[in-house]
Amino acid sequence: MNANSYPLRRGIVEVVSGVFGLAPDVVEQGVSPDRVENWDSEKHVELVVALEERFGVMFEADEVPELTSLEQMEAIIARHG
Amino acid sequence: MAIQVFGPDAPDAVFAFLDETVSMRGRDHWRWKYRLGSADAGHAFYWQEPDGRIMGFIGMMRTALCAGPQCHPAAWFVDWHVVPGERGVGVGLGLLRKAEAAVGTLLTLQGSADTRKILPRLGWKQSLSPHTWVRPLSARFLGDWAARRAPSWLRGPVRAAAALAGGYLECRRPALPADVALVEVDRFGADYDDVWRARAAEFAPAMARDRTYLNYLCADYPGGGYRLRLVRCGREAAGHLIWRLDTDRRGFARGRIVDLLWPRSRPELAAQLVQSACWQLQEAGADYVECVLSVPDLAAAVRAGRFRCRGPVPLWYHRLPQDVDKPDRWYITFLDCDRAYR
Repeated sequence: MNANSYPLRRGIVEVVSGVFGLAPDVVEQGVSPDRVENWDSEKHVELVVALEERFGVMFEADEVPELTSLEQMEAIIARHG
Repeated sequence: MAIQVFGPDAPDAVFAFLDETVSMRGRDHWRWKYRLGSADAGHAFYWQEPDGRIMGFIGMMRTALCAGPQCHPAAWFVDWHVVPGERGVGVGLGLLRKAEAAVGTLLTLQGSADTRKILPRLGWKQSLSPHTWVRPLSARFLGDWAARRAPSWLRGPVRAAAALAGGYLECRRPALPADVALVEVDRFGADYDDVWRARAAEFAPAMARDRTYLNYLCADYPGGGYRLRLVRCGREAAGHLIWRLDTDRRGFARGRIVDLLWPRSRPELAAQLVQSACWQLQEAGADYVECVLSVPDLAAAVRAGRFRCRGPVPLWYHRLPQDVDKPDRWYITFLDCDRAYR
């Protein structure tokens, strides 16, 4: 993570924290569907919608299933500019 | 690999996924349902992992929403399945996004519990205008229906009372007007498109019911079972009546009025066609008849035919063409949501 991506990462952490009800410092240690107990299809929808609203993007169909870690979220959102 | 179009060259793994996860229908069914090999293919998608595993599938049945002089591309999504587990959490949504982008108007009826939870979060809206209606045709069905709602100590007397209702349940052959006849056909001919054009002006907004679509859904259904009747007024074809008979999960012979069209300027014909379908189904051995419908004149027709309303069938929609009203006034029947297609 470089200095330019810091606000993006912080925003993602806030969204993930809000959706899954986790403390930001827990989220920062890394998240994935196998590490977060309540990360099911419904929660994933909530996460995608929340990320899109926060960052003003619309994910492509192929990108949606890949939004399963902070690194991938960051890379995909950054790709949308 | 990622989202792929379900086409005629799809790997065997997709057909295996459909048989194992959706319904054990076999390759011919899936080829028919998604029109593989025809120009209308390309309305179903699957997600394949690099190792070849199929993680999810979404399938749409293409149609056209006819409103006024225009028909708009639309589709019902009827299969939406994902492998449970961590990898599958986003696959379902990705596939739905793909489907939303593929057609102008994407619709679904009823939906699973998961679907009903997820769609509102994605901005989908619902209409509750379609309802299911049921009419008992046999004392056995009526007795079972009543007994299941009665306290256990009353079930025996309830069944005995229902057995006495045979005369009440009997359908009489309706006397159609002198100029009206029902003619059984194997499929709808080329001239039926003129009939649909005339009826579309009266029934819009409605999904297309031209001969290609009716033949695809009913005459070409690999499982068979649809009975097609042409409604003739004088020497001219003027509409249709479609019903089918199969067995429900409790072993009762279930009749379904799948679809009907009639000259809407003759409202008495709706009730007569419903009665005719009930009589034909009872003659064929149906224990009960059910239908789904959404418009007031057809609701009045089934009410007059002693049907009882069983509840709404939610119609979910993603976005609509600008000149089309919400689905509350659309003409919807079993043709649009017949479970036999699934």
